[in-house]
Amino acid sequence: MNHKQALLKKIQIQDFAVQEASLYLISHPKDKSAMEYYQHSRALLKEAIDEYEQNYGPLTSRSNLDREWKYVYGPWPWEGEN
Amino acid sequence: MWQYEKRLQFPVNIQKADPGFAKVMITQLGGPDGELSASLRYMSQRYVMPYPQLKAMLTEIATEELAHVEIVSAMVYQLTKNLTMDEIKESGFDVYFVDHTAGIYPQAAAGIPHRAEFYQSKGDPIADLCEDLAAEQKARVVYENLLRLASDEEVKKPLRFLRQREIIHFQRFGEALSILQQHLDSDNYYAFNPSFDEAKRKETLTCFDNKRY
Repeated sequence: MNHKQALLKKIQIQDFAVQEASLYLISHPKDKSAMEYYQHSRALLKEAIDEYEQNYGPLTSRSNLDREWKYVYGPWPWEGEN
Repeated sequence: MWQYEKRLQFPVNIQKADPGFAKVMITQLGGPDGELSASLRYMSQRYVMPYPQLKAMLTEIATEELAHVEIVSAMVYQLTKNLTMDEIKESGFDVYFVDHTAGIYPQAAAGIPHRAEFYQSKGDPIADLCEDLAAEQKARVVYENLLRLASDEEVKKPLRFLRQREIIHFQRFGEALSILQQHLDSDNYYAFNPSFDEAKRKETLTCFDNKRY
């Protein structure tokens, strides 16, 4: 696994953690440990996304940080080359 | 991968319920030229688009259409709030009410439920982009007809915005078709299908297409 793939995996893991915590918190809004887990995962997710985007370009059309429009560059996620 | 943003792309603040208008408005949710058809059409077609600009264009427009699904749904929701049984009967909304109460269900104005027959995914980018251009024009006409039927300014404002987006998308799809044609044989655009004939597609890649992270 190269650096790019490792970063994507990290994003996948942390985003899934945030997703799970979000769903759980909808029905358990007063669960303090769930809220801590959410905040912890959210911070790690942001860190992973920032590092990915600085090295490998925007993940969304709203985060093209470069002066050059790199959002269109391949490979696209369904192409199985990531 | 997608995530939800808790806001509308364009505000909807309809104070006056109008179940009669809701009955025609719902066609832009579930009808043949509605936003759901538009989104699923582009979302389905994007996979075999042969060049990165085309993948990006279809992905972005498909995503914006989902935001339009939400605007149209919000309009139908506000148009059918706090209805009396008399209003429901007099407006002809009873035929919708009996199956869905005031729930939001994707259907055409005449009651036909949303269906995948409304769109195609042909696996050929010329055919798909031409369908997309037509789809934007057809949706523009529906919004113009809705604007003819509407009287409330709060209903007209989002309708005008949605109509304008059809025109912009038509423009962008036109540019996408032109980008596609620049990759093809100008003596015969149909010489090969760049979504299927992989060796030929590779021959037509430009240095931009090859830009990768």
